[in-house]
Amino acid sequence: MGFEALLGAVAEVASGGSILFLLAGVFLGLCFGVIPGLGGTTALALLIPVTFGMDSLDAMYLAGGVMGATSFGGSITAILLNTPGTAPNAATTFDGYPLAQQGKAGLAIGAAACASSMGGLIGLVTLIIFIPLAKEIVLSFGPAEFFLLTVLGLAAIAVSVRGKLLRGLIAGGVGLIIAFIGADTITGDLRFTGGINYLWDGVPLVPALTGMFAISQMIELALKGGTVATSSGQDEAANMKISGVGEGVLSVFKNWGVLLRGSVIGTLIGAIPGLGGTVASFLAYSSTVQTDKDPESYGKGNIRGVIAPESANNAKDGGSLIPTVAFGIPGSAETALFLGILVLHGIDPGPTILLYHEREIYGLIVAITFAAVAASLIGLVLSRFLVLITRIDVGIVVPVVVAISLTGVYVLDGRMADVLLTVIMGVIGYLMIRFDYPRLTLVIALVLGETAERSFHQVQLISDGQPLGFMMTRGISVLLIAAIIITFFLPIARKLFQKKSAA
Amino acid sequence: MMNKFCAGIAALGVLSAGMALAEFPEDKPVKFVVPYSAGGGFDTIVRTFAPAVEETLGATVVPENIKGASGTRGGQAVARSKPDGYTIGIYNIPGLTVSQTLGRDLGFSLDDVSWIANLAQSKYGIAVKGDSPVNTIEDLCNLGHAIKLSDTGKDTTSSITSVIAFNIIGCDIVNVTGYSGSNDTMIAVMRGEVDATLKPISSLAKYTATDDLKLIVTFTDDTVVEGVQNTTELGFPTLAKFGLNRVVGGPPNMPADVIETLAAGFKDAVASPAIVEWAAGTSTDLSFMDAAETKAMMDELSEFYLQYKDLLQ
Amino acid sequence: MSDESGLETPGSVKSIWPAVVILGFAAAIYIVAQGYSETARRFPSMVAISLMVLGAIDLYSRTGLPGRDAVNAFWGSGFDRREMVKVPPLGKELALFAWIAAAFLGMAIFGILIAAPLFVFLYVWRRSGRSVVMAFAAGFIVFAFEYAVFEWALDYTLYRGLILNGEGFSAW
Repeated sequence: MGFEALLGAVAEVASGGSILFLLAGVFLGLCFGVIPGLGGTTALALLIPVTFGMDSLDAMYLAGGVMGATSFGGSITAILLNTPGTAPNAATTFDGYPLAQQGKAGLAIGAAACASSMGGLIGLVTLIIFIPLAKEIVLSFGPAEFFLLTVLGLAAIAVSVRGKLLRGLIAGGVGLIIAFIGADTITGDLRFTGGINYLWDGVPLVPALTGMFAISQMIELALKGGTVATSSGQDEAANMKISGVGEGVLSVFKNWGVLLRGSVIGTLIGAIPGLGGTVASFLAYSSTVQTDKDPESYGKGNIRGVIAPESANNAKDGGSLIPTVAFGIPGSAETALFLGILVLHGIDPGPTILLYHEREIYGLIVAITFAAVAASLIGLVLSRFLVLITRIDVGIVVPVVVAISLTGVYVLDGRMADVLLTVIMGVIGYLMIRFDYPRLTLVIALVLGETAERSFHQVQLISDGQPLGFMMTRGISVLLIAAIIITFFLPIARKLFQKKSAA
Repeated sequence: MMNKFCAGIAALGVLSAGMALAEFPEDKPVKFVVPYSAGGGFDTIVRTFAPAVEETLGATVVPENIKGASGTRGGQAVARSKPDGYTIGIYNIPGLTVSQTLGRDLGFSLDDVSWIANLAQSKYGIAVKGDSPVNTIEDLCNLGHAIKLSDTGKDTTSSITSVIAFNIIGCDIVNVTGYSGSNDTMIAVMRGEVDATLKPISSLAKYTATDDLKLIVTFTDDTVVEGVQNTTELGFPTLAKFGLNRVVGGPPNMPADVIETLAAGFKDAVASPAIVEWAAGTSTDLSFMDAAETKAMMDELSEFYLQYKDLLQ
Repeated sequence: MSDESGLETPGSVKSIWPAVVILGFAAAIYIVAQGYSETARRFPSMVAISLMVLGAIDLYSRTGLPGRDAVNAFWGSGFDRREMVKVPPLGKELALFAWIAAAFLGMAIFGILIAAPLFVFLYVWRRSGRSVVMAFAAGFIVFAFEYAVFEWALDYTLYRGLILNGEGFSAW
């Protein structure tokens, strides 16, 4: 039944003017994804008033185009400038940026484009297969699973930061504390706000991320000078391969196991509303590293380190629709805005959404998948030019990125205070680079912190004060606990073992 | 853009038809402040009303999202504006009323707001899991443990209502807060981790229609859903006073004639076919009150919640 | 300890001070958290205590005390593979912070549409030392992009600055 509706939706997209809206969405999404500070959420928020006068299906194609295209746009800057567009893109920086520094940005972009469109397609197929089970999937994830998922995400990131476990954990702790700022979701108490009204709602994520990723990276680049791709001096720069794109595309098929695992993790974990996407891409990365014969080669420009998170990244878009088709609830910030667009068009999202609005939902699924593939193709075509960014003098790249990302932060909510926060976070982020504390763990802890705290509190209340016993009776919780133990302790055990055998 | 153009034509039509309008509204656009981000419940109602009010009022209405500080930042922005009718806002009532009653600093005073109209009001109901053996509020109280209820935050209207209502009914509750949206609180009931949830009847309707949830009581004076008891017939008439209101107001000291013009515009908008159709599709309960009625309701609400101050603190 | 490129780790990076700052921060958070209600202080206190423990290990690994190498090997707290290999002089760092701060202040005072291109122009011209023509081109591209995408295509009003906005800080 699902595939019939899917075919109908494909036919509908292919006919008439809908494709124009979709392409407009793809273009906008790619544009907003590439620019630090702007992202899918900002694009959709700005589109809400624009779509008001449109036909509901056209509005949806536009939104679907944006949603499918932004994540690849964010990966491009993750690779080229070490500034991921959104938290889920961050895992791509581990190996993508070292590749760009070595002058192999083409290879990385080729692999990323191919992995993300393949991931998108795999995600689509998985989504269609699982639609009949959507309700059961959503109902099996309660506060206990959410709490464990945040722990799993933190464990995956802590072991991923290039062997800097200690300072990674410290940065994570600071990130958690930043996440506690504002009105406590449980008690309503104001915490660590210092009497500043702005902080009541907590530290907003987009400005914090933009400061941490974009601004701090620009400060570092400006102080370093030269161009991004300068690891080994001037002489080699002339020999650097600007192509390698085709090789990158091929590498995905050579490493199909990595692709498949990434896509499956992306769809399964991505289905969990709220933070699935972020956890998924880091878990895809860390599991690839840990199952590889040579974990030491990661973080220095291993192409598999690009394929894994990228495939998870686009597969999650399919997964994030599972809560939407099941209950009409959002599975990500983007789907929340998408549902807002539906409400504006007089459609009330709820458990019957798939029953009564099959056209819209399948139209969106097709639009997102189409957009993911189209964005990758556009990315591939443009990659030759995009790669040039790594060879432009940072004296020009830095001010342009700073100016536009600060503008982007303002646009999201129209608050100058957000811009100020971005600047402050940028300086903190730079100090972290300078003193060798990984920024990524701080950011991911900031993203996951609030959920971790409130779901733990909920587990405590619903389990009548016996959280551990409660979790042990739930199958998925037990699986997650096992995953946490494997993720966190396997690398440590391996390290201890290696040392013994070396000695 | 097309919208504005059409509204402009409509406005011209209204003017040329000779309808006598006072100085307000001139050709300046009216800013309609939404204290939450785009896409939420308050944003939706404002954006849906804007074109309807443009027609009835004959002025361009521009929604503006000023979110932050639990919805108080938008209210502050309105309070600081000139009371000329070109800046109005929508307010979360009684959420703000309770905060003010409890002595929280909103950054502005609700008592000074020039109330214009009440657009919609939702009444509450309590729902349990669809296949639960619990059928009445009495069954719920006799579960043998404190009733676990799911909610978003401690300060939300529904949470406050739960605390007061179950105090009046006389049952112990544990409020499991922290769910990220009202949909999540209802799904928590379906998952079975909590016993019940108290939410606007219109929100619950989505899930009771599919038998995922079962409504056991409504906080109303009359029977609104066939076969479901209401609190008044159960002997708790006070509970029917609880509700969630979408209220429009403006800066302090707005001239009476401007308030009247705006209120008339909203009144006609509420009755317009476009709004009625939209409300039916999204189970929104339209309920228009003019300026005087709204003001009276606001005063009544602050008095009502004041008596429960100790319970809520 | 030297990293891959053979450069010595700068003294400021491997000194004890970053760890001391972390310890101080964690202690401050712990103390402030004790003023909150029981539920509200539980998580912050837990994190602050963990942070103090981790900070102490960080501090220990930075001293010359015995067992330091074992700690570094286990926790990965050495300084090989640093993200930023060379540490720039303090004056240069402060000057760059000033540039970014100026960009923000410009946006706050004169509005984004004026200050963003102006910042790009001045930065490319004065700090990067490029030609005026190139600086102007970079500034113009930023202006054209911001105007075309936000003001024109999406019908969005970018911040006009404290001078023109007239609402003062309340509009922040």
